[in-house]
Amino acid sequence: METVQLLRYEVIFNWITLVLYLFSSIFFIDRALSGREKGLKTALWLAVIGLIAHSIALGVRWYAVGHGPYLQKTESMSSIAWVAMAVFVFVSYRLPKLRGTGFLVLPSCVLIMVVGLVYNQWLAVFIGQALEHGRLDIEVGLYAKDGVMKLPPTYQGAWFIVHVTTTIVAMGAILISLSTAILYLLKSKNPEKEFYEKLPSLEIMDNYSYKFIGLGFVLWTVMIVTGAIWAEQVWGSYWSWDTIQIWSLFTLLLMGVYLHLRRFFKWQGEKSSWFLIFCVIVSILTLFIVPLLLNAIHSYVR
Amino acid sequence: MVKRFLLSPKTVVALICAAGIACVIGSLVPQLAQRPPKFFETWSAKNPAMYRVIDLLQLNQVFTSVWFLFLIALVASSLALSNFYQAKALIKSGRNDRKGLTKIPFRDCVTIEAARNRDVEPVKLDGEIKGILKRRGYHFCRETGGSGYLVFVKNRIGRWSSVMFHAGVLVIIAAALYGLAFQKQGFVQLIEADTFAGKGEEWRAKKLGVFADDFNLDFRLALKKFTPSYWDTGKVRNMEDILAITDKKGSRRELPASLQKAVEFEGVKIYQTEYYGYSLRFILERAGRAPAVINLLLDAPAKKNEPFTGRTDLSTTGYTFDMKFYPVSEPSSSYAGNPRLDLVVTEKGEQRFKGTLLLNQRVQFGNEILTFAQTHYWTGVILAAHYGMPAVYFGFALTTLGAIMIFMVSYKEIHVSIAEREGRIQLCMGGRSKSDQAIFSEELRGIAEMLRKMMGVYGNRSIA
Repeated sequence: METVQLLRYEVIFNWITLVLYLFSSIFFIDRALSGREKGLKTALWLAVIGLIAHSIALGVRWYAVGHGPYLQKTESMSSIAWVAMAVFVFVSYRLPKLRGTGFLVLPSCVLIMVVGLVYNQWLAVFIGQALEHGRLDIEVGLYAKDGVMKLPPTYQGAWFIVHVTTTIVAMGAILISLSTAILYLLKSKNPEKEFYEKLPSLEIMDNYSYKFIGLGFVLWTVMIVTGAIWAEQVWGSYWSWDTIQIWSLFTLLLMGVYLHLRRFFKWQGEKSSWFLIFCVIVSILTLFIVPLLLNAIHSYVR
Repeated sequence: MVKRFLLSPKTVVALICAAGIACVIGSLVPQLAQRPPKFFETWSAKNPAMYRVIDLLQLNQVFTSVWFLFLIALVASSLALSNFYQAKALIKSGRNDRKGLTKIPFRDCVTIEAARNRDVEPVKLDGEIKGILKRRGYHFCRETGGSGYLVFVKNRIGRWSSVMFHAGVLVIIAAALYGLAFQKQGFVQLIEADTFAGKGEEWRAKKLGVFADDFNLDFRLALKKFTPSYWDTGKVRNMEDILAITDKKGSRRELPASLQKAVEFEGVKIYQTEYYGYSLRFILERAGRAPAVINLLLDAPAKKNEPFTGRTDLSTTGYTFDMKFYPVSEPSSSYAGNPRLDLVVTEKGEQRFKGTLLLNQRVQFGNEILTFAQTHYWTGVILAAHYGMPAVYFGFALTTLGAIMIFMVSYKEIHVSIAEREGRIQLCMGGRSKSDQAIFSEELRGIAEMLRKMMGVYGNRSIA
């Protein structure tokens, strides 16, 4: 099958995913705001079906472009959303009490996917065409910006693949920790509402935030280490104080401060949740905003 | 005093924060190593007072500044001390464990009671408890003498996780400082068929450590063949080359290199870079003078079918060459398949020549004759003598393993005591974990439930 035909299927599945995630988000947000628990299962099933469609979309793209979905911003954003969703579904299955985290994970995934699509102007072109011709033409925007990007020579090593994979998975874990931290804060303010009552105790929620940011810390460390090894092999220097390297290190140090504050100064509960939220904001800045604002090696891929 | 200061948690957090702030400053303030000197000259001229302060505080070279190195030295000292004491404490507690001297804190103790009967044999009960805990991943470690506690542990190696992580960071810092002091790195543009002797002026750029002597190679390097390959989109897919290396004794070796595969020779690593292009050789014959050989380097285009372009001022002749080189002319052109050069020669802004040249073609302008003599690929190569790299990799491995162990295999310990009181069997269970206290307490409650069921079985039997 031709690449164009395959990518057409990818676009269809991307839109199915987006719609399902959007409906699931609405369910989750409504339940979180109203405090009712009923309907969470439906929201979760919508998310699971969305995840299946998302997996197909990513698989089709992988097959069509010949490399993993991590090169262009659209691909990496979609992958991050997929990992966050997969982690969320897994956590919901293993720890049903944490299903409520969906109220933040789902809208985040929708946002990430939309940003990814906008990066490649898919959404803009899609809506633009729809307004212009009065129909939704899924074919438009396939090659809207850069088309299909092939792997540049420096992006072909095994260490690079490990580097980006850990980055994507780290972001997924960090998103879940953000959800548990925000849920902690909401539960501490509304302990009597059914939705929050069904969540684990405040102490356990706090511990899960710590566990997921801990997982994020581990993956972030692996990301920096594998990035350094990749840089050494490609550019002859494992550390060159590149802007992204600096900000990644800064994020890691910040997470280190969080872990030390918890361990030595017993920062738990509300204070710790706020600090965690700050860490997550910085990690998002590092991965998505800094490469756009400051000149860095990672600015190569847009 | 110094020891207490370096080991204090407040100092540790303050040092991490200071390192983080230094990172932010280093990324926001333009750094000398990353911008051309002209940028700083302009800045200094525009805002002398501000630049003086920045220069004085070395904020324009944060990562090699005295204060940053001092901060790193403090971090390293703190890490070394805390690691030493942590390791010492772990070894001591291991020894005490073996001797049964460790005091077991029975916080959050869960007590389970059951009726005593003839079926409940302490040995059998021991076995059941061990079986239940084994199913939950806990291994029987020891029975403390006298007190009769059974001690079960999970992820014993996890006790060393923090030491491993911090030792890894320490090794990386030490190796990085060593590398920074002695590193030698140079960039050179190799032209096919030319030889690089690795001495003095031939380097395009060099980076030497504080204590490193000059970077001179003990071998000669030549680019035998350079082959770029392209994707169907016209973008570069890979660059491969064959490097010919001649050592001091005159023996010659050929080594294949590519962007993914650096080669190493006599402790020097040779990295292929993304820079490449064409080198054009001209011969300029001028009346009354010896012919001059001119080599001009053109940069590679973004896509395959675009021309290699370049503009060069020739100070010796006063000419400026504006070049567009097509290694393979388009099939539609009259030069189809042949290399061609679109050349514009100007002198003090006045055009002297404009036209297309084929290889070996001669053109005359004024009293001068220019021959387009040869074309070759050129490519950029980095040569580096790294110091402390094995230590850096060892540090990477330790840090990664340590981080994984801290969160994935954290150490947990469960203690169970069996006692008989007034005809009843009483189990008392407690434990401790290095992290996840609340989740661990939940796990303890789950295990207690399993033990309670097991004790219930005994109780029922007794009733029956």
